Amino acid sequence: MSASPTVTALYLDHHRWLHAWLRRKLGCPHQAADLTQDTFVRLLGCRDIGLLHEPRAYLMTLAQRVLFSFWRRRDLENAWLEALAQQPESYAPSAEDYALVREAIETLDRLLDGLPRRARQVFLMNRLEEMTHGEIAQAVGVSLATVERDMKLALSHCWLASLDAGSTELRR
Amino acid sequence: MNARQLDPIAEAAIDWLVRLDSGNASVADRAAFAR
Repeated sequence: MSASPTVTALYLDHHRWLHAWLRRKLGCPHQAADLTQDTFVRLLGCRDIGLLHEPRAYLMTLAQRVLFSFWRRRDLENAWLEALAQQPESYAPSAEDYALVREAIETLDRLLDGLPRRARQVFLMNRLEEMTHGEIAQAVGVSLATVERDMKLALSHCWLASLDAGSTELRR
Repeated sequence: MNARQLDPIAEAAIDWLVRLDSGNASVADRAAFAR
């Protein structure tokens, strides 16, 4: 993909500044370099960048989003590694399985984002721990009808979020 | 929270998912779903 002249100009003018800003946030020049590239890749998908009055403010906003996604992914990965550490030593997923699970966790996290905490908890108890609605109601301390309502809310939320994700992909 | 509305078919499908995965679905529930 060839970058538009505007993106090229922004890259040339602000790449070094953005890399320094990210390096201060991350404390690592290599990760900062990766996220700087990710930020400019996001910029390629943005419209009307030729009209930017404050390019650095705009780049910083994009970079903050990239940074939050990076931190979120890192938190999820750390949680997954902690869960792995609790497993017997004989359980060692292959690199492929590791990548698949990481991707699945990230997808699930994205789909459940914005859902009330209890509904998320109820959904994960049912789907991951295979608990019945009755068992969940007892564990959480709510009625069966509440569990059913939370499950419906969570499934509806995931369905609508997957539609949104699909339409976002189509727009790219 | 997602403010969009479900279409009736998706809502019916989700109602079935909730019912069948409740851990208390009966043979009659599964037969009704199969029909």
